[in-house]
Amino acid sequence: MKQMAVVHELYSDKEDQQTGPAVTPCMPLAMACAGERVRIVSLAGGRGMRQHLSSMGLNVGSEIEVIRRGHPGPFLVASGDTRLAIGAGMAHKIMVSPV
Amino acid sequence: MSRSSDEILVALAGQPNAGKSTLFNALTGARQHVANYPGITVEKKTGNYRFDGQKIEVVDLPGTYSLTSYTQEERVSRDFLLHEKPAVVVDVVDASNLERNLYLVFQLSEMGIPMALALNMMDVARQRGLRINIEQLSHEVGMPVVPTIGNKGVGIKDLQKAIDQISKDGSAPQTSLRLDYGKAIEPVLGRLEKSLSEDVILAARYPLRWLALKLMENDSEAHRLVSEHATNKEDILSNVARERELFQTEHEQTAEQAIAIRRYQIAGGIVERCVKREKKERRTLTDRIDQVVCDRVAGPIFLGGVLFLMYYLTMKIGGEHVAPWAWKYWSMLRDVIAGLLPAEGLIRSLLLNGIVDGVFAIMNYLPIFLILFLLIAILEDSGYMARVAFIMDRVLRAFGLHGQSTLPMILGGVVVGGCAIPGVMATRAMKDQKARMTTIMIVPLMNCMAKVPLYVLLVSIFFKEHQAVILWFMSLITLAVALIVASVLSLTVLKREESEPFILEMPPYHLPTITGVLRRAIERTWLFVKKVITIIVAVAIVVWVFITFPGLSKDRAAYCDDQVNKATETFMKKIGENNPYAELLAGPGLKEFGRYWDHYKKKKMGAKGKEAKEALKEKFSRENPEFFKIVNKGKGLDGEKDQYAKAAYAAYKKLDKKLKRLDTARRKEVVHVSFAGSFGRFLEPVSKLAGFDWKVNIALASSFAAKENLVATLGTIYSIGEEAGGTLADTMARDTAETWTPLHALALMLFVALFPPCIATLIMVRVETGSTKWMLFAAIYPIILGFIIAIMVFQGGQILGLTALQVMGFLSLFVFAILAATYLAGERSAMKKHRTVEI
Ligand SMILES: Nc1nc2c(ncn2[C@@H]2O[C@H](COP(=O)(O)OP(=O)(O)OP(=O)(O)O)[C@@H](O)[C@H]2O)c(=O)[nH]1
Ligand SMILES: [Mg+2]
Repeated sequence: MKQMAVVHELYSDKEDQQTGPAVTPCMPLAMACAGERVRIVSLAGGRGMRQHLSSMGLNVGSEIEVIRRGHPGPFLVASGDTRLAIGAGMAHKIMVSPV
Repeated sequence: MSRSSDEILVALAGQPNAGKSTLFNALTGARQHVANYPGITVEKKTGNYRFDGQKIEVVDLPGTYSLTSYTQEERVSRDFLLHEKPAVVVDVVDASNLERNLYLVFQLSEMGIPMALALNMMDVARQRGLRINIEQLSHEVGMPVVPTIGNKGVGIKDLQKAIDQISKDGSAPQTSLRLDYGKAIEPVLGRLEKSLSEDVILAARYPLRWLALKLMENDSEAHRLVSEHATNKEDILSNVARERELFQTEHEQTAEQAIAIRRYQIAGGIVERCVKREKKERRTLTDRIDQVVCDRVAGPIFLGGVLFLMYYLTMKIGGEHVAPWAWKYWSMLRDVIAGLLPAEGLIRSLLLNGIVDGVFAIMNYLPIFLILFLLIAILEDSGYMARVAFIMDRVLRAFGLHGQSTLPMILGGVVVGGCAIPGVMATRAMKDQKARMTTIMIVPLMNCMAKVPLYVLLVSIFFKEHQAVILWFMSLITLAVALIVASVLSLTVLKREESEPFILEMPPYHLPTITGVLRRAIERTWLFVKKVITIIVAVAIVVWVFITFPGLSKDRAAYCDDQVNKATETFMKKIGENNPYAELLAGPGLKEFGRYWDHYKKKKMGAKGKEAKEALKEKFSRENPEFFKIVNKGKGLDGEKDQYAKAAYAAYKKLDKKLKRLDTARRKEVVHVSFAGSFGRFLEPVSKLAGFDWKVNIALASSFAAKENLVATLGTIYSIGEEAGGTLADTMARDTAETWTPLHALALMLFVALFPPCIATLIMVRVETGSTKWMLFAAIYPIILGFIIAIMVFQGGQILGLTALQVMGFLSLFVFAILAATYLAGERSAMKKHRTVEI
């Protein structure tokens, strides 16, 4: 948990530098730790991909819980009662903020 | 569509794994694939039932999370709804997952087709402590809602009633669900709708609000519709583009994002009002199981255990107990068929040796197959298969594959014999085009059921002491080679295919249903049987023609006949003219006696116990008392001895041996001069490099049609007598004793392992890739690869003077070193990719 906190700070720093005053600290889903609840801030990827994610319940604003971290391997997240496995590559493209 | 007007067309739509196919089966009594693995149905299927005398045609659509044109299934479903205009759409909704499912409900309702909701998985919802207010829900979504439990058949009658009601009402109150997309979007939609309504053709064809929404979502299919049908398409499309841009600058998000978010908001609201959670159970049983099964350490161990259990049940229990037991009945059936065939001549030889034996040789594997497919169906239905994909994704990804490649590979025969056909078909559920193509290309390298008999045959001749080791070596080395090939292909020829990130829904675990599991297993096995009786029969005929014709030259044929005649004459002389049986055994009588003799010998071998033997004697004696005396060494049923009959017995025994020997020699000669023989010898100079002689060449060529032919053709070439059976190992061992070494056998096994897929698989590859080019590629690269490895093994072994086992060791080291290198390289490039994203 300690390590994670540092990472969050790091990230919020970066956000600050790049986009001015960021409201929420955000990080890729790949950095969230097991058991953490996070809210999706943005989804990368093509439009088709984003819509696909949306329809599976992964939306900007939706809350998900990380059940198992990947690294290596896919992440296991819960979105409502649905369990989704998300590849590590994808997990780096979904930006989340802890809630 | 040639649908008669009195039929009512009903479409079953819904998200993956919601239970559409289950409901479809329950409604129509059909047998559709059902499994607890998302994306099982990939094509639409139709069936029908009668309600009140009214015929209802039901279409089971593929599961889709939404109705964009993102995936193939989404397109299939949407095109159907759009163009076939069903009278009713039943949206099958997973009640335990209502919020997400509503997303699709909204999209469907926007298409303006009368709808009903089948609220399926009510049992799961109840178990999770969800109480759904059906009336309220029905009111909120503006359509009838029928709670169902598909796999128990609960609610089916009500669903049929609801469908009937809607179809009668025609323009039912269904359209009362109209999502309010809010202040930001509604005005835009209104403007668009209005401009669209000016286009007469569009207005007549499509629901305009739906079209307006889709255009705002920048849906490529909607664009296509407009540019195809609209009269002033430029105006409309540029208008849309302007509106979208305006929206984006104004709201700092794209219109499709705003629309998706709004849909979820509304869905959330409805769920809040209609669903009560009784116990707030945070960790479900599924979660607790997943904690172990998906664990980094325990997960792979558990998976290994499962795979081992599969291997054990199929190969040990199935192969060593069930298959031999079933074989008794198969061979009985074979004998019955053999008895029905014409007694003699070319036709019998074609039908019996070519077709019947070919088919039955394969039927031997049927029980093993059934067991394997049952186990796989259980894994799928329980929900574990999705976890396998999850666990394997990490490893497979390094080789350019995907977690979902696991199921195709297992079906193809990673652990034990499988079949590439269902394996290639199972790649359909994969979204990642690149990984999917790679998987299709390597599935045929797995050890399919048809390759195993050759391994077993050769191992039992050449590696008697190391049977298990060799079989394990074969499956590991082929897996390693397949992974390396996958990695090479995905970095080279498949480089430009589209790749998708891994996202897979993990369905909750549940106990597999017996009917569901049986259905899937039987269906997959049936696929295999169909292949056996279609393709193998065709190929058997061709092979038979090629190894039978042009036949012996006149002189040689005359010579052979002469030999037979001489033997017969000797026989007649031996029993002497005054033998009362001489007349009986003269001319055609001898042939008849020959059949009687063979038949008796065979039955006698099969008869166990005194009683059976006595019964057999009685039966044969009744059939022909004279013949019986001879075959029973001169003794009649009454125990009376007959000197003459005894003499005839002794003489015939010699004759029989002689005739069989002549027959075998003749067959061998026929094969040698046949077309196939010439072909095999033609290739021999090249194939000799890998140690294959012309006989092996023929067998390999015939197995291209279907691998099952390999052993069968070898059998024909090594001419086991017509009524023998199962002693191919002996015959081959005798025949190859001087010329073959274990090294020959090893090279041949490796070549067969990598050899091109059979024609049926290639056809499947053609279907799944939609490209003849890829089919040819799948046919050619394994020959080259296999041949190179076979030459390496054979020449390397010979030059260095190594034994087959030593060569095996070196080859393993070599291959696994490459494998490790490939894996590390793959991991590193994946890491790099991640890092670039992070920065
Ligand atoms: N507990 C429970 N299980 C169900 C119910 N209906 C279906 N199932 C099971 O859910 C799984 C999925 O069912 P399918 O009918 O294959 O689902 P589908 O919607 O056709 O799925 P795709 O074809 O993949 O889109 C199967 O294992 C069914 O046995 C239900 O009402 N209750
Ligand atoms: Mg289905």
